[in-house]
Amino acid sequence: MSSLRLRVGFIAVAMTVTGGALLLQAAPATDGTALKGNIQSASGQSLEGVAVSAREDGKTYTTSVFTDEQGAYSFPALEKGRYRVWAQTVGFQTARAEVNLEGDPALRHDFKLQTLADFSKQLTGTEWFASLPEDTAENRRMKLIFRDNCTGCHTPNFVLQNRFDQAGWRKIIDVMETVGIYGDPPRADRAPVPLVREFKDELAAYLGKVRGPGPSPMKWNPFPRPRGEAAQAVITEYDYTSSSNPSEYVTSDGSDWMEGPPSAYEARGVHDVEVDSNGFVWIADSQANPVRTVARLDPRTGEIKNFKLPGDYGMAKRSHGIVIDPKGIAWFNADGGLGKIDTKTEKMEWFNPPKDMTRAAGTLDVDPVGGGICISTDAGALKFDPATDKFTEFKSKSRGVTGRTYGVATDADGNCWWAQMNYDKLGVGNFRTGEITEVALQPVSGLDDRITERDRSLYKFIGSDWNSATPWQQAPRRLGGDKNGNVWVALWWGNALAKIDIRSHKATYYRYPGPGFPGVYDTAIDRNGMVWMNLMNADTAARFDPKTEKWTEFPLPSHGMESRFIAVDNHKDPVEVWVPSWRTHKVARIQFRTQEQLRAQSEPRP
Amino acid sequence: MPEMDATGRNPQIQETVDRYRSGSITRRDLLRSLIAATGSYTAAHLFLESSGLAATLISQTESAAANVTAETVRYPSGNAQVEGYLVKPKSPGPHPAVLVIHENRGLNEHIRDVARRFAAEGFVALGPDLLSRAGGTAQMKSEQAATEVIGRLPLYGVIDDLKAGVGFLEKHPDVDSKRVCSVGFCWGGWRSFTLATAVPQLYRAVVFYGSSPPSGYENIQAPVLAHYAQWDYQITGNALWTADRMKQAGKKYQYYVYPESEHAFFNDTGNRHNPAAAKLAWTRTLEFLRS
Repeated sequence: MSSLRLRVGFIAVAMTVTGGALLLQAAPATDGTALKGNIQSASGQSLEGVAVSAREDGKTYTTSVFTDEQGAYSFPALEKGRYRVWAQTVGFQTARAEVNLEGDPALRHDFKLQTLADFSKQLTGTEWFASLPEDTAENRRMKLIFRDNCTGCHTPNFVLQNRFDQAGWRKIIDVMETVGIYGDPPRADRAPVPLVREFKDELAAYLGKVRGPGPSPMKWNPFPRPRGEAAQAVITEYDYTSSSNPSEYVTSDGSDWMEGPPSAYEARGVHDVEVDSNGFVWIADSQANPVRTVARLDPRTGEIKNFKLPGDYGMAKRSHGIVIDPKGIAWFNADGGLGKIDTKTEKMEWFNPPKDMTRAAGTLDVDPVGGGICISTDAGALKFDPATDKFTEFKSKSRGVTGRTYGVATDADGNCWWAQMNYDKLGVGNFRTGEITEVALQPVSGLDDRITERDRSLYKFIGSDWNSATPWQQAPRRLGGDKNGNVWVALWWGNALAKIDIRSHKATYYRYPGPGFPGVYDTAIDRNGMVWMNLMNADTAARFDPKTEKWTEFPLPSHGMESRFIAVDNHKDPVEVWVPSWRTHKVARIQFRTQEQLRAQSEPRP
Repeated sequence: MPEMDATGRNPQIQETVDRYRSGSITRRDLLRSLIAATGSYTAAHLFLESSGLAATLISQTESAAANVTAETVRYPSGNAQVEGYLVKPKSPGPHPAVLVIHENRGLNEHIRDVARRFAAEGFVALGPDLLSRAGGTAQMKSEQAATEVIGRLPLYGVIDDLKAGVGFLEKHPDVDSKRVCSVGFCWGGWRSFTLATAVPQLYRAVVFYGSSPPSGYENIQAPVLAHYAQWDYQITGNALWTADRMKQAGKKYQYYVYPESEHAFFNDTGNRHNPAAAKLAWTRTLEFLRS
């Protein structure tokens, strides 16, 4: 009896999927099926950390879990329906099955995975990068030059998954050095990216060697599969409709790792997301399109609803960043101005900065003290006061518009911080006094053995931009403020996280502890003070605990995602983490199961 | 475009223009006021072009002050007519000549002013309106329209229009046909450099914060002078590559990087104007063209 009571007690807090939403519910989960099973290799070895994904026919979301140390997986209760289920991990062919869930309490489906000789396309960008040889001084040098010039706009695996000879790579680099970041065609009168141009002959020879038609010196060492807490997560990935056809979804979406990272040709645009207090997810769409400036995802159904601020020539104004204030107002940038939508009434407005101010750029945050909106600009930041609809400009102290601010964040004292990625400074604007200060980051050190004298003179003359940089560039990309008096800065090229005390401006650096080049892109701080980061090249969300200084990684079940943002839903308990994926055109939600919850879902139903 | 009242006038702008006409404010004061009234640099310049004030009132006033003569001219290029702003010293020729190639905003008061300044220094200066084939800068309805039209101009069609401009200057009775030079700013900087690859007889070419042509260096005969801003990453960062190509081709190339300056630092009607850098670059330019 006591055993049964205990079990019922666990079920009372078990998570079930209802229409895609994992909910804590009090009632026994008899309205769904607990799909579970074991995964072994063909030789009978249990496989830990295998991703298992389930997608119901006709639905636009996929639920994924990972196997535990015994090779067992267990989904939270899935609603009745016909499902495609697939299991995959690096080094094995993707195994597929179709199952009918008829409402039984539990259904078991086991997989046996066949080995895959060439598993390179299954690897994440950071694994590809780690596989580049470092056996000679020249290989170490070229690996650094490749990283700093070819992996700023896209992930290493997107570049390296194909093979070309030296002449082929050279033609690609000829295009890359002048193509615009959104794929604008190259023009003879556009100045090439200078460091790419200077190194292109060497890069073409290097790529022709490591990814040419002949034998490659690359050594594939897949990283360990997820285990422990990371393997207990439940991840729901929501498809995002194509902006050109609202009933159309992309087909090449990173869900089968054997296909390699997908092209962005089909669609792209999921840039930033935020979750409102009703659980709706608001998406800023960065791709030029005629139907939406922002969109709303209902995680309970997967439905996408578009909201358009009219732009020029019938197009929608284009956004990039979005933030929701405590009153439920979503603020987003739109064509140089500030957009606003009331998440409850859906009323939209647009505010144009005065003509003598710099136009709004792509990132925003809400001042927790005064309620103002901090908006990035090329020259620093703008403050928008929702009470008066008035803009105030905060200009970077050095270099004018050449700082080209990327991320912004507000801190616990109500200051607005902005990241000047190409010259390693952070601007700080006091929203109450108007005072502007700057915080300089220390350069990356320890790479001298990879830099020749000629390289050094080139680097000194040319300097850094966002996506082509010198080896000593930290590149503060995006950032977030916590309640304890710190801002947490993602250092893209520095491969690290920086904590900056908002009063003393003292910076503490936490270098990413693993191998490869994960791509620390953005930070978000949850209500427990944990710092969350999206690792763009690793298709992973990472959590940093400021108390223990421990990094925990939560791999996601799609590859080639190219996430550029991370959000935390602090309305939920435990918190949920959202990762939009720009290249694979989806939005992923991570929910966390405790050991007890997992055990309850794994055990037979009463 | 500026907001107008019921009679189609903007009283604030009218008052500013009247004050300039009466001599109580300078050209730069006029520009500053117009930029404030219209909301942007480009809108102010477009207003001056579309209203005709640049080609008439300002041109007459400033030309008289500089002791030069200015007029609007047209010259043929293929089957089109290119309009240009021609400014000459009042002293008898022949004079060296400069083709003044505008930024990506079209022929505007900034370029007209530069042309007058060259004429005051003893050059015949021609500022072609490279939007002529699209109706001319004065016909652009908005900043966006001007930018889009410029973006669609065929790259080497513009070079043809500039070559025709060189031909126009070479045949002009007041010009020393052996000393025809080009000076280009920003968008016009690439065109000034590229013109040197297409016109071997060009005497000198000057580039203000413009990119370099991808090829054709072996055809260049003119020495090239370039002025770059320190904080103009993509343009300035290519100076080393360009210097290397010019050296390999055995050509003369001198470049300067102006500390703590931004793109368009020479433009005294824009907000990135750096007076010290602009003054030094102007002195170096005159010395180079006269050498």
